[in-house]
Amino acid sequence: MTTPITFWRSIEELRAQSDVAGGRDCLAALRARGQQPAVPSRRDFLSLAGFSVAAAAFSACSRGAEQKAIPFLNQPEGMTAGVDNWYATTCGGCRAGCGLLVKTRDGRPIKIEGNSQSALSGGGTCAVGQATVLSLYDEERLEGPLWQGRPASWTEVDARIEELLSPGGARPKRIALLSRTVLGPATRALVAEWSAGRGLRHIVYEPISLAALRRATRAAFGVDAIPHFGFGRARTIVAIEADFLGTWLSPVEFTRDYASGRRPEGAAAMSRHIHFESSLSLTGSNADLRVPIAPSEQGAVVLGLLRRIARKLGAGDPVEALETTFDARALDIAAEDLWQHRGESLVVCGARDFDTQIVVHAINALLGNIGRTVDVDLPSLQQMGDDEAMAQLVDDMRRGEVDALILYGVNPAYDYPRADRFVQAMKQVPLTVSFSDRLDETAALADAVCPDHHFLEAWGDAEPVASSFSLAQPTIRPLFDTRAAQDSLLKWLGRQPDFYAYLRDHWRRALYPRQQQFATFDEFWDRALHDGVFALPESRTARAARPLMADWRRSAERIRSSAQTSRAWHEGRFEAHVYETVALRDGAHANNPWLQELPDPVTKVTWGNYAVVAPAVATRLGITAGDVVSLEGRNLHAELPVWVQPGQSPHAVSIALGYGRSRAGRVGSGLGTNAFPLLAGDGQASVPSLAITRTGRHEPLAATQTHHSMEGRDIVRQISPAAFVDRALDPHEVEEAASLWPARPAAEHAWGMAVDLNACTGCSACVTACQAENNVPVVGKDEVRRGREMHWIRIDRYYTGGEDDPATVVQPMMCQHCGNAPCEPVCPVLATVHSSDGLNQQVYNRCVGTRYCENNCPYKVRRFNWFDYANNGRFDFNMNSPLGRMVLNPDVTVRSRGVMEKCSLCVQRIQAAKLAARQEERMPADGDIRTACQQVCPAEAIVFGDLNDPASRVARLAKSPRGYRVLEQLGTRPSVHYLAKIKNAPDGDRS
Amino acid sequence: MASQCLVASFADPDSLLAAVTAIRARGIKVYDVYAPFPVHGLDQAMGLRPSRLGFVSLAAGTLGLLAALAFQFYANVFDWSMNVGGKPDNSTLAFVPITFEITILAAGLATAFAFFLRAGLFPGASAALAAPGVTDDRFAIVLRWKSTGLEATEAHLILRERGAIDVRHVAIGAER
Amino acid sequence: MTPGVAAPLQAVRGGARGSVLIDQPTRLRRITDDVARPLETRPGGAWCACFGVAFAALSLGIGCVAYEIATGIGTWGLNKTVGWAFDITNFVFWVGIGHAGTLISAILLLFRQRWRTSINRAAEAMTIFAVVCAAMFPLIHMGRPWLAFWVLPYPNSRGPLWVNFRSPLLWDVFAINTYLTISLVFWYVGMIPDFATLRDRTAAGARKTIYGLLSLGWNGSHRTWSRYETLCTLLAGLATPLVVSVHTIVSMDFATSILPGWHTTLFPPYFVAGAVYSGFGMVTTLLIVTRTVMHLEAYITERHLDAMAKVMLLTGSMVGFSYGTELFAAWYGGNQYEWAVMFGRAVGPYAWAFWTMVACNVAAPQLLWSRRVRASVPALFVLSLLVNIGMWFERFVIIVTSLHRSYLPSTWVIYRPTFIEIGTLIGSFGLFFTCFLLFIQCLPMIAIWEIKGDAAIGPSTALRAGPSTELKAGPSTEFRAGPSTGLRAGGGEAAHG
Repeated sequence: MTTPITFWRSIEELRAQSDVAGGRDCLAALRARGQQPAVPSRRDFLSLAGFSVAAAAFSACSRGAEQKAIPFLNQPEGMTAGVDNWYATTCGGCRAGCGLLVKTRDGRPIKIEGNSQSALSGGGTCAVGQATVLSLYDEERLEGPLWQGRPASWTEVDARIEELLSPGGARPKRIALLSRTVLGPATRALVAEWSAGRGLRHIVYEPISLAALRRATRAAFGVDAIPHFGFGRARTIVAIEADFLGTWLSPVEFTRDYASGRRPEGAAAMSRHIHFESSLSLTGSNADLRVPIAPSEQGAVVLGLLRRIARKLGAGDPVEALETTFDARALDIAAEDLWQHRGESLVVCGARDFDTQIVVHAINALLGNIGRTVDVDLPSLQQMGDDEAMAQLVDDMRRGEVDALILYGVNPAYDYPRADRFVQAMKQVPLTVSFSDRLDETAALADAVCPDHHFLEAWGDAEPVASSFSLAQPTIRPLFDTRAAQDSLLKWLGRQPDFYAYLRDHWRRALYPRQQQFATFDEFWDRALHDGVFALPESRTARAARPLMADWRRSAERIRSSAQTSRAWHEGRFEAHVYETVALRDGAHANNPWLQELPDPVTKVTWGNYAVVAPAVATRLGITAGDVVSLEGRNLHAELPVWVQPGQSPHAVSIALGYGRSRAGRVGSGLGTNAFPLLAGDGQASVPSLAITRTGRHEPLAATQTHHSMEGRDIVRQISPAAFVDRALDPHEVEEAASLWPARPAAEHAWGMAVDLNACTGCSACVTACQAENNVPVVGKDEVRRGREMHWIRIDRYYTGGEDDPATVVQPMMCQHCGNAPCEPVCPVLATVHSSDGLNQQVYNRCVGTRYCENNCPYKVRRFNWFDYANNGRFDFNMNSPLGRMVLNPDVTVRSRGVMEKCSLCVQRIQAAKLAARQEERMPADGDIRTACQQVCPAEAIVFGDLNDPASRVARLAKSPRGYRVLEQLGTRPSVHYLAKIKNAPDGDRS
Repeated sequence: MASQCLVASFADPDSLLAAVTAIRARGIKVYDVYAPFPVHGLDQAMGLRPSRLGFVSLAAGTLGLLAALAFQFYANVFDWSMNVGGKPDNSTLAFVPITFEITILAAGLATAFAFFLRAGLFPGASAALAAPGVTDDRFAIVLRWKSTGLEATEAHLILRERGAIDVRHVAIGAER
Repeated sequence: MTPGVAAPLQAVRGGARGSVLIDQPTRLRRITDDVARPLETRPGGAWCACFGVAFAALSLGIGCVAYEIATGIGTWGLNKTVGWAFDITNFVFWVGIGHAGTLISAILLLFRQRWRTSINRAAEAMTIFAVVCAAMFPLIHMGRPWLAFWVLPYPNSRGPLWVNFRSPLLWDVFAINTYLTISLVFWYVGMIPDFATLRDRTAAGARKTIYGLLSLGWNGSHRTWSRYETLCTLLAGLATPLVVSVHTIVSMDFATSILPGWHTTLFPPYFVAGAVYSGFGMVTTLLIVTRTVMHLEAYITERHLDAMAKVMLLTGSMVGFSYGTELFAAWYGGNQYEWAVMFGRAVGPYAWAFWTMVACNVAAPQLLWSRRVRASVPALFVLSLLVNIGMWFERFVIIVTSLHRSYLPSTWVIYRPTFIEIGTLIGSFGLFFTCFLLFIQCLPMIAIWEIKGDAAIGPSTALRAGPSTELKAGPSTEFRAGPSTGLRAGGGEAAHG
């Protein structure tokens, strides 16, 4: 007989031919046993059919995906499922220490709002503050302590650290604590205790340091701090390279204060703001007169002012003038204005040069502003960085004179200008401990990482300005096995690691005695904890002027001489200029997608930094926005795309700080270029210079606005004060265009909004607030490039005038909730209709996504879900992780793919307020309802309310002589009213 | 019931026309004529009344118009009044396009169906031909009587001399 | 051309002069033979090649659409400002193509234009396929196409929930569906007698059964014929206003909006003219291809092409006039937004598209004034292609340039199509040509009974029907005359033989 042919498909199979029963070919196995493969019988068929039918039937009974909804077994005290709880705390987003109210739902903090009780920051916050709640749910956070890079238990880590810190041995251990400015008095006390007990050396390090200003203040007034500036009281504000509305010192407080001094309807005359800077900043874009200067000219500006003021004082010319690249008449105007308002004027300067700051103090002193707009009695404690100490520490570390280094909230391996030297130095330190919440550039090199709580999980306090205190309390039980830095310090000090007790005790000892308001400490504590803020009475008393102790003449002389050193642009190079962006600041929040996707208030670019050059320069070099250039400088060799910025000094190339993180996390790592090296060397005397060469590559920037002229259209109205006075006389009624149809019956409400373009600075906090409140998805760099960002509110920014020195206007633009909405009649399925109380509603689950409404919207405020943005790997941001989704607002639907969405005027808040009012059997009062954008605005530029109620704020604002509506002539009858901007230009009616 | 037919085939429309005229001139009823295309003049020759399909169109169209208007009015004014772009509930002008389309649709479909009904055309209907090729290149006249008589023979002659290429007597039932 | 095609016509013609009896039947039958030949023979190489290309394109389109529906509209290049681009451009383009078919079959029927006879069947088929292609785009352009049925007003369990009868998109739904239905009825009714003819010439078998079912038992009774003609006239009478209304409504998608560049009362006539223009362009393209591929030069003669060229010249000039009017109105109206859009079209980022449109739609058709151009098949073919391209760009220009820069300059963007969009466009052409090629292979693409009817009519009618140039036509044009002048055609045949 013939042997059966055996086929094989692979060597393995061939070799395995022996074990035919090896399941590779069961028929073969059967054949080998001389059997026939089983032919299914009728019985088998029936049984199988029966099974499959039954299976089909049962599968049809399934309920689909299971969702966990676990009720409270025993309900926590004072918490009801689905009802908000609010806690007062202090913001840890930056060192400004604004007071916050945190909205928690079912134990999760989901929204941050300003604490209106705070005398400093008020009810407003900034974009960063808004976004900090998302950092809480950052997947990159460490879930427990690390020893030598691997997870360890707290006991183990503590044991090792305590062993290494123990004073045993020949000499006491030299321990250094390197921290950011410590705002909390209690924490400061704790650190002081360490210093006393263990000879701890505490170095305060600020990556973007105001040390020069602080030193100058110490020299000038003997106060080791930064003066507390009062922008609200100043009638004339002259700022030199100080972006005080966006990033400088305490933006929220300053914005609020600044806006309060610029209300044309107000009793006092509107303040005038003159700004000298190299690159158009948020603050500069709001100035009444803005002068582009080269970075090395800050000294020249202050000298120019000093000379003019001194002359007016009859003090002669302290120092001869410096030639400037800008029109010196601006200095005459500024000096004249300052002189006119001496005593109620203010000069601030962001220079990192001691002498310049001395001269600025001198000018303020000569103008008699000290004690009025410049408060040195109760100074700001928000920026206590000390550059010399830091440099000294690095040297000592390199020399091996530091036995242990504790890093608290700092990341010098990234943001120290000489990061490489610091990293070297770190290697010489036997023990380095980091409190970082993630494995960032520095923590990655540390022996131990003892992750600190997120500030929303921790106890704490703050004293941002002397005698103004605020408390921080946990709003959620720690998500991970983290420990408060203070607890760690207490533990290693051999104390009970209970910072809460320590904090309470410190307030009992240090603060309670200083107030008379409360009889018992418990009352005092409960009240302070409830309000979140507490101000000592003296914070409200008037200040006396202080004598100027420093010799400003010598400083002036030094400035003049140092300025003689040849300027970079003479050799065809450019002066490097670095700045903070409103969104990313110093880069600590680089992994926060909300901030990465927040359009820069001026450039409107998201996701990454770029080299900002002046239009003239761009033309000269033949480059346009997005062209990649290589920058060569002493400390920086980088290639990055160009942004052509009107108003940029032709001598400066500006690069934003906070980018180029290598270990920020999934979202923030590898975006842009790190510009901190450019900060090396202090002061203007040594402004680093850069050479630009084209690479020929092009890398389109993700900008949300690509056209910057209003094309002569009546979109943002701007009038001069004079014109405003004339207009104020004639009464203004909101007149409607004639209609062919009978008006629909009026309902009980007509919700509307008023946006004061004069108050709005364009800081964009509202954009992030809206994103947080309304679950607006993050779409990422590519989608923004395609023009698909999802923000419900945007800040339109237009330039007027020449491109070298343009005037800037901004306009918050959200759904206008038109009375005759063009988007409504075109929807085939009635997915967008008008509510009886004047809202233009979008019905997500009815929408089929024809996008006709988007096309027909004159304001282009509608946003389409091009993809699924939640639970989608293509968009790996917070909505793609269970942790990140904890931030979502349960009151707002997460939109699915293929539906249109847009601003709803926070309808969930309207409904909540109506419900609350109904329960109290009353109508919702004016001010009950505050939309997210209104609530967050530090300048109080946005007012929401009922246009039907003539007494409501919004109704009165709508009738303001400045009131108008965008594209009114189309007959869309928008419910959003705008108040024209007033440009208080020195040369009268320039508007 | 006994009856029988006379089927005459022709090769060209002109002689067919002539034959029909002659037959009817002798007062003989033409049962029907079969042709591969509508031969012009046959209507008059056979004395057919103009079709009344037009009235069907008119009726159906009017019905569709009224129905469409009424429904849109009902939906927008009575059943589900909505504020859409501030427009009045009864935006009659906006209802015109749809009303028009429905009118056309109703009229068109109704007319077609009326035609199929009247002509007895439906899928699977039997299609026995009066003579081979009447759907291709032949023309046929069919005369029909209860019982054969003089008339038949006479008709036979007339048809022959009018150029019929073939005249046959067929028993009943063959034709429709 | 196949030998003797013109002979039967000559014979029928000759019928008027007697001496017909012997061979006439065979000659009427030969018309049937010619038309039925493709249906009874295997497809030729040319046909197979065309079909292969068309089907490949169709497959590409299916792939792109599947990917888009599975992933999201984001696979297209649209953005926060430009909500429509290729999708609606293609939609309007294909609807426009459809209109020529109805025009030829219905309007020319009412005007008793006999030259339409041999092309109206193909033109109607084209209408139906074009409308199918068009109808596809509103469906797939939806964010959630699986809910497309929500645009239909059906009673539902969600309480009172109707559609928005004020929305032009809803008008589209009704217009397109009505248009498709009526065109289908018209097309099918026209084919019934031919199905009967085919049924009776096929041997028993599957084909015979199918023809039998399709022919609904048609037996050529003249009583039916007479009603049949009334029906055709009535349907034509209904289809004529319908075709005008459909593109009027399509134009209202834009005209009723608030967008500068869309919001203009000029659109309805402008769009209808454009539709006829593009439609005739497509018919010309198709017929030139078909007559060569299927060897039907005697039925689709140069005279047909000439007539269609004249229609193109007319409608093309109307379109050009509309462009001018639009620009003038924008300037004279003094509305800055309107003018910005119109001016932007000519000089903005999409100027290339605008000038392509002007070159193809305004300049090119002017060549048709010359008879030599109209007489040259290759020239006509190229021109007809240009017309199609130009008309596609017209819709693109109207939609995209108006959207990408509207009221608020802060929202101005640039739109760039993605591969998926282009693939979908190619796919729609694939679908169209696949259907059309199947049609000419499986259905009588020339109305047999109508040809015979015309063939049987005396020369006098023929003279009335055709352009007056007909008899004066030079020797090179003997085939221009078509069926109704079979006599001279026959002469030509002889001369050629």
